[in-house]
Amino acid sequence: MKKIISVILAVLMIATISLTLTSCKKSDWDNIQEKGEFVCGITLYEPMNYCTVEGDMSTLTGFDTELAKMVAEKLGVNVKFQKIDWGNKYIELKTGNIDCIWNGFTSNTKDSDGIERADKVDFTHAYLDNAQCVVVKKSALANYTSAASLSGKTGTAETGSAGESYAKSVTTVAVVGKTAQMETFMELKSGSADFAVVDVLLAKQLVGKGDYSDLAIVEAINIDKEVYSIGCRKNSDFDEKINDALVELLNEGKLETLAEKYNVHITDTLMALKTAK
Amino acid sequence: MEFLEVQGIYKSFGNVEVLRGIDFSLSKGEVLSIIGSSGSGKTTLLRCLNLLEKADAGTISVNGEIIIDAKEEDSYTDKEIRDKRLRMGLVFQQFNLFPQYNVIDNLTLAPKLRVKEDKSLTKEEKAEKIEAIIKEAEELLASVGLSDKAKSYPCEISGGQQQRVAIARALMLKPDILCFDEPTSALDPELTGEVLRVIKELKSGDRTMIIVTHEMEFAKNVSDKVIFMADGVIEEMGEPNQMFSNPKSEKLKAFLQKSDEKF
Amino acid sequence: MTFWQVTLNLLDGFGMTCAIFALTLVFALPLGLIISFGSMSKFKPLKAVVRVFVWIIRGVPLMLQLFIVFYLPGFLFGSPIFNRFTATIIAFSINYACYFSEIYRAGIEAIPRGQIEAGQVLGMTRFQIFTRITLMQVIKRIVPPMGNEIITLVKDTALARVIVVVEILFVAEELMAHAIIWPLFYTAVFYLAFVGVLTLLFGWFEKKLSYYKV
Repeated sequence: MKKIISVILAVLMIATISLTLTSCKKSDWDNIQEKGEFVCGITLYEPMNYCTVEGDMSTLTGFDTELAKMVAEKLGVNVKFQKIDWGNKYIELKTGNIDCIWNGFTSNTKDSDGIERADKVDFTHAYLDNAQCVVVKKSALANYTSAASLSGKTGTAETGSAGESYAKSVTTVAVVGKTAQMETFMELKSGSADFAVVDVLLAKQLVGKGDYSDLAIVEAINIDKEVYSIGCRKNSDFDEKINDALVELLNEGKLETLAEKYNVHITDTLMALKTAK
Repeated sequence: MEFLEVQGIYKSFGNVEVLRGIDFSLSKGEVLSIIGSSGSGKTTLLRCLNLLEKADAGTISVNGEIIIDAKEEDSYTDKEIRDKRLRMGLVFQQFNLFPQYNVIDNLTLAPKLRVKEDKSLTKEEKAEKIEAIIKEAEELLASVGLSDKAKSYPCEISGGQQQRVAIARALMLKPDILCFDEPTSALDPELTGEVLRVIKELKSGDRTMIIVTHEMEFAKNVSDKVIFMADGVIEEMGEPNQMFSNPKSEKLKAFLQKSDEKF
Repeated sequence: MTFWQVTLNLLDGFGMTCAIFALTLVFALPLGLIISFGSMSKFKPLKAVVRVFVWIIRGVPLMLQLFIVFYLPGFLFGSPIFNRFTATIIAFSINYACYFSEIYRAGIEAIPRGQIEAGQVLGMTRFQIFTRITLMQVIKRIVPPMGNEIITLVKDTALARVIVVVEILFVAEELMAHAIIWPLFYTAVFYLAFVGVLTLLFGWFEKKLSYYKV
């Protein structure tokens, strides 16, 4: 599917460029103010965005959900959450279906096409620490002692995720791209992949529980620390607005309270802005 | 002037001249048989008479009224063509009954539609006419000996019975001239008799008919006039007895000899 | 999550599956007839245009067509025109109309010329010939292939998830966040039940039409 998207992208980029060159567009922030709302592209996963009653979007909550609502309040507009296919996030953003990708979006990494994510979208300040982790079958856990033991194994990760980039860097064998992080666990269980690379936040939530009780996180493998940011359209002015709101929330202490509630860690770089103020 | 006048009919398909000047006439109540080998243009002539093909040249008049003039055929409106077609009835070689309708509905479908679309009639008049149509259809079915098959579907009756239904269906619209296009060619030999008998009975009903046929014996018995066609022209025309017992043209002699050989 | 909760959640998604299915049929069945008329037109340029169109729609994956309908306006104008559901219905309707049109065409072209001529010599109008004679015979001929195509549609609705229309498979995948995988396989029951009902329906319909042969 990613190939299909790339093909459309290639064709459509030309059309887009020619059109954007000729048309004089309003800024993102102007548009958002006009609409009175901005749209966050999300996928559902704990603890960032999830529903307390399954299938009922009105019960949507989570760290990112609450944070986005707080930012919206600061900006004086409404926020809407739109489920997206993670593999299509850039298209969704580019075509204006969403105004930002706000869903535990790792910013300090490259996509599997080798392009820095920062070159594709405008990132806000990094606001949260995260890491990817490697998940394997519990029965095979003993075989994985370091990153080197992954080479020659079949990996799986969500298409377009930071995990996919990592998986591709450590193994020469195929990496199975899935449309959702959860699906990677099925690859593991069915034996069609040996290891999965997913967000540590997600893994801690699920691995070892329910149908995933036969899976385990490989604590022995440490992947470089990652940070989450909110991704806005390239050359947008919306990221600045979010940054201002984030710093304000930080200074009011609300951001730290929220982080405690969900047991997540705010980045040192963002914390530094607090003292600077 | 005769009841039916056919003059100078030409028809080509691409470069192939199928009809090359056909002239004949027929009195009211007469039966004409058209014989000739395959490809001689018999069926095309019949199709031109019924406006299923547009003649390239020529005129056809019925009862002194020109109904087809090839020069003007392109200017006929759909409505005119439909009305002209009704002057002629046609019974097909393949019967062409409508499979999804039962026998009685096959007979009444077209006449009923004509009544329904007639805006000059009141609701009551329409109901009355439709009742009359159904009654007439029942009578016609009886006359072809199929009263008991009124509610049968075409797939449930034999080929001979289907063709008898098709004849009754053509009669429903009271055509001035009833045409038959090889009405028994698609039938098993044992079924041809019943169809030919029905056609013969129609003759006594004072109907003007044109029959394209391969049944020489039948043509000889039933016709008042016979036309032998070859290569798109009328090779010979005359009384049946004289035509069959004393053919003049070489082509007819050869043709008759061949059809005798079949037996 | 209990079995009952999962069932209720999946039923929600199944509602969307049914909505895509029903609306696609509502639009594609008549649209297909119009396209089939175009592809049989005596006016050559129209016929050529329609046949090329059918070739393109049948030649490109439905998934790609979903992307094009949903994302292309955004690429060109910077903002989307259709919402996800509307885009799905548009893409599905056009795609299925093209497949239907070919089935219609085959059905119409298989009607013996003699049937139409019999109507003509009985003085029927073109419209009458189509509605009273041809149509019923076409319907009988196309019931089996249409049944096939419509059953395929039931399962094709799952494609809508690529533009995040929350149909039953999408719901099942979301449920995996609760550390349960079996709902994914459980969806098969819903599809099977749906297709089962359709199969019975088509069987009944075929039987209904079996009183005559074409």
